[in-house]
Amino acid sequence: MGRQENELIKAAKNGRQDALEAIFRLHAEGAVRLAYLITRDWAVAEDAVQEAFLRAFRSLASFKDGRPFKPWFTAIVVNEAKRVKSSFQRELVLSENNEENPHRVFKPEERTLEKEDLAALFTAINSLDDNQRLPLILKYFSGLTEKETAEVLQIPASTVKSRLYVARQRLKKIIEERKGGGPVEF
Amino acid sequence: MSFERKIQKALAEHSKWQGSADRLWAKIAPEIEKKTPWWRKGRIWAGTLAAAVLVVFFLRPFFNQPPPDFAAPVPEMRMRSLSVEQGALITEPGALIGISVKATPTPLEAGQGPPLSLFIRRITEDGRRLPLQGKRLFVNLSEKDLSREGPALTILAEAPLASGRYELKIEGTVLSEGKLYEIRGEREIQVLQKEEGR
Repeated sequence: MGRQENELIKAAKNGRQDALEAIFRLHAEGAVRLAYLITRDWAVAEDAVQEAFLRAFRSLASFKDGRPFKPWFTAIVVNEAKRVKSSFQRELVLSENNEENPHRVFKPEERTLEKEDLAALFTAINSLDDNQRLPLILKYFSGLTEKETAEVLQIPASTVKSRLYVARQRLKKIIEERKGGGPVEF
Repeated sequence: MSFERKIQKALAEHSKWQGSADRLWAKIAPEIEKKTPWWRKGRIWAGTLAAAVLVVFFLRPFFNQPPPDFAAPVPEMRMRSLSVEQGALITEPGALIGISVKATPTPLEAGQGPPLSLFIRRITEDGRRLPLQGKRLFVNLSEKDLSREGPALTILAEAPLASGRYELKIEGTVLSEGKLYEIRGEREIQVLQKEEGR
């Protein structure tokens, strides 16, 4: 994918609309899902991603050839998601019964113990503050390395490492408390 | 399952986008065309100006010459009007095209389904589709979460080298984590040589 993506970026820099569209299609879904995890609102997430793509395409000339596109673009998505979220000033209530994905259709057979565990874990993730939540999302959802996460969030890699550690410990504690103080299964 | 794997699954499970990439692109594409960055505009004007200066420079020796006895035959200017139907992506020969495909689980067992292939058909002026080629695609979709419903994946395919209108269709089955998935997607494109008007 790296070589193909480099070719696409070169073509896009030359103003080729088909190349821009191909780049968009490669990254759109991941970007919207990432923006949703940050904003917790699909409409806001799509707005943020729309702005992020426009910003990225307009500043493509400054993007260095041969570098991986994903971390660079992820930084733009994260910044836009945070900016759009705050500008909309929507009240995102992260309650105990965390909102389900409105697009998702649950089937009876899916209501397994594992699904409930994952839902509880997701609620716990959303209860973390952004300092812990964002590194967690970038590492475990976007698949960025700790170094790339550090570049996206503009903090030292050692800080990313420690925030991830703290985040995991907090999650375990929250889950433990929810289960009535019993041992954590994870 | 490790705790880290559970975090990954929790985030993936609760962020399933059922929106449409096509709809989102429809909002973005006009904005890109509308707001051409100043540096690109500048580059175009600078290029045009430089070309004009060069033309003047090379033609200067001929300005003071007497007119020829008869006009030399002027080669007929090659002009074409392009009429591209709505919906087809205009592209260059051999360009990489992103084709959105949908993956749906199938009850077939591994080895029973047809292999994933790209079929290219040429669309004639009267709308007939002439099969040109079908080739096996080897794409690694194991990292993708094929178990989700709805959202499309993107597979890249190369546009044909000859000008014309084509239908690119991706069909077949893919094995991922022990499950077989049916993959389908198609796209119409219009291949234009560089000098044909881009």
